[in-house]
Amino acid sequence: SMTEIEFGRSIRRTCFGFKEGYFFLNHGSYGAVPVPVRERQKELLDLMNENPDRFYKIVEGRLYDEARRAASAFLGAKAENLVFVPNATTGVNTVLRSLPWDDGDEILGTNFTFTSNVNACRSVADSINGKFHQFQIRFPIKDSSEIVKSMTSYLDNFQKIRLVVLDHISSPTTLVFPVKEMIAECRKRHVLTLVDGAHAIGQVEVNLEDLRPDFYTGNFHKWLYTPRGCAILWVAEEQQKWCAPLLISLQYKKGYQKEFKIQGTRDNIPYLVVPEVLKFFEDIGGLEKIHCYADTLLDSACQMLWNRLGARPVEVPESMKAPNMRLIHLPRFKGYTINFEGARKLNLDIMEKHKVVCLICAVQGQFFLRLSANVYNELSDFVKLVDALSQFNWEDSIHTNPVSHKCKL
Amino acid sequence: MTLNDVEFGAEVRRKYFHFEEGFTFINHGSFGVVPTSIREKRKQLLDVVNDNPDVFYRQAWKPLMSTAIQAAAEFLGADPNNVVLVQNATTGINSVLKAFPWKKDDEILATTHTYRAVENACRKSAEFYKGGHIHQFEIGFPIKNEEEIVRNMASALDEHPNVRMAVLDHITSPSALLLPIKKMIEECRKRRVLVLIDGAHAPGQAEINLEELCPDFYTGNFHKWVYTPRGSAILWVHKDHQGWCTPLVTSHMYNKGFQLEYGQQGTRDDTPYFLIPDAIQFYKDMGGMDKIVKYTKKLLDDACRMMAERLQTELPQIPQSMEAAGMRLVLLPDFDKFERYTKTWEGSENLYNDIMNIHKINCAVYPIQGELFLRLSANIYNEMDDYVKLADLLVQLLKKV
Repeated sequence: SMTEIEFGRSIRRTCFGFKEGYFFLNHGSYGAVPVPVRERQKELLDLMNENPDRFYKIVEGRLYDEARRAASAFLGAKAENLVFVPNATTGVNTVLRSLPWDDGDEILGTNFTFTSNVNACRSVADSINGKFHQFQIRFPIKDSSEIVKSMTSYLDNFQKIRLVVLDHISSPTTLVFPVKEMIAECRKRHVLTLVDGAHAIGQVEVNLEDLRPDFYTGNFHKWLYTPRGCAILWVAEEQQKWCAPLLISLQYKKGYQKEFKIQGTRDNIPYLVVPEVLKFFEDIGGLEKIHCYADTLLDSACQMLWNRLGARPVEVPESMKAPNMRLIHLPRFKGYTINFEGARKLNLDIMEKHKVVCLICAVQGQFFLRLSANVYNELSDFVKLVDALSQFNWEDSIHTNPVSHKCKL
Repeated sequence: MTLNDVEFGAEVRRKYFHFEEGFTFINHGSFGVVPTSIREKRKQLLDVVNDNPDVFYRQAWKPLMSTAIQAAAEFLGADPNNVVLVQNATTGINSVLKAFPWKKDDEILATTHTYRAVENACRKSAEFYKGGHIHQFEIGFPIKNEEEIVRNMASALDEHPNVRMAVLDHITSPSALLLPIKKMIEECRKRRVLVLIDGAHAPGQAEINLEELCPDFYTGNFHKWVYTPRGSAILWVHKDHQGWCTPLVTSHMYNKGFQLEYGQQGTRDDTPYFLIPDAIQFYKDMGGMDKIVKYTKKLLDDACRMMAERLQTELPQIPQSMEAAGMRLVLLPDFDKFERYTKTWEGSENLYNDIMNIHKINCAVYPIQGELFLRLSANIYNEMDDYVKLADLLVQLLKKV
């Protein structure tokens, strides 16, 4: 049974079907789909194709509602407030595009807001003759109250801010934000909150009725093992009357639930497998067990990175550490510019030359390694990663790079 | 692989398709059908994605996407630079309507046969600017000739000079009419009205050369008549409009241009797109448009004649040039003793559901001009017996009264 399979090589082999000879340390980007879930997806595809009419007219609706109820229960949400969307990006766009803005309204994010959200906010702000503000977060972060304070001072200085876009866990910087407190501060000031929980679902406890933002969107296909794209959008009851989907279809004006449910003929099976996925998640031990395992691995990985490469995790308060990810400060690599393009090239080169899948990103003029750990990982995966990184040419930096003198290769 | 020797009908059904036992499928138009080989390829591709997601999402998808766009564009006589892939025609329609810079008092022209979701999307756009209207010009049986349709549209445009955009079906959904869009586009151009063609049913059913046809926007499904998995469709946008015609989802590639913006819409499953080349190959292997259309047209001619005879009703009067290749309407007799089968949307849904759930026949039913019609679909796995089964059922039902 699932509960007996050991984490590491064993579960990778029996449950995950990953390509042999590759080392997967980037669960955060695209998630992973275990074999039992893949089988269920294929089963449903067959069902759909054997009798499309019956599937689309009878079966799909029932499975969708079952999946929605299961997802809601998992997230401590009222099922009537929750709908499925293909991904968090769609969730964010949905809210931004249907909110009845007034001319000149402003939006607040941070310098760590996910790029596509920044783009969506900017685009919307332009269209309403408003502004998109981003309050700055800088490493090291001593206390989470710093973040809250930066936000509230922005809110108090810019009274036209109508909506704050908050990351529950930022990407790629892996910070767990003190969202409960931030939501409360926004409520005090009658500012709406849209929480992007793309990384949160399956990594941290999420109780939506308790958290009570105005909107919450998050992926199930990252830390919860569904096929891509499967995400949810939760909208507080009082906001539902105007929150329409991006796609207007057959159920226009029939109400929140119906409007989001029918989105033209498409493949909704990623949503429909949620009950099986939640069962799998539970069977292998659930949030705590997975986190325990990931944490131990990541501690060892970080120790290795320090010993062999002199690379250190960024300093963040305990409460802001992501359970299954770490952000490691890297030195410069010769031949790779420290920007999005340079990081992309570096990731591809590591993937092609060493078959190690990881995510290096450029933030505030430095390279960072975003480590992910999941049940199919073992220490040897991280050894391979460190081996790979050791092969690159490191630059001694004459600027303030505290690790530079440790990295002589 | 040329499969020209295989006979359409039961043999093709057995060899290349797989359906639920005991059911009759004469509703290809609603959801399309995916051949077994394509279904298998999709599962294989999903395994490829899942076995190494990073390699797929960082690298492998790009050439798959551009190959799919190339194949789709070639199939539709289009410049690939003008073509992007979307999940369904509804998305294509919504993308254009939402991105368009509407001004106050702008109006939209559609028809009385416009697909309901499209009509809804039009209404929502028109709502944005109070005072805006959507007008729908009448398409009604009998239709003597194509000129009638063109004239009705032109009159509607002249009557409503604020119409900024005409949303026209290439093949209407409830009524299976192949509209004379080339002439209609010309009339719109004369009046400087933009044209958005909803070709949801057209790829695979009608000859399409998009660069020649040159509307302003064209969207069409591949998962209806070209055998791809759902959802896969194209959106063709004239070069002049690509600057502002942005996708519904703003993502990483914001401001990076038409192709890149539509290419990345957040992490999701684009494998239906990537099966377009294989599906087009299957379509060609089955004989291509000439052979397929020849078969389905003849089958529908015979089936409709038989159905009308047995039901003692008639076929709507339309010019042959306006007959869709794979779909045809048959007037249903009065079901007035059946409370559930009123001549309304609800009544048509009830009849459709009952025929499907109780009698295991999948066939579309639509209310048009106060009557109920069967919309028969024909594809290469169908044969006469499928329609006889339906005729038998309906005759039996009516006898019960």
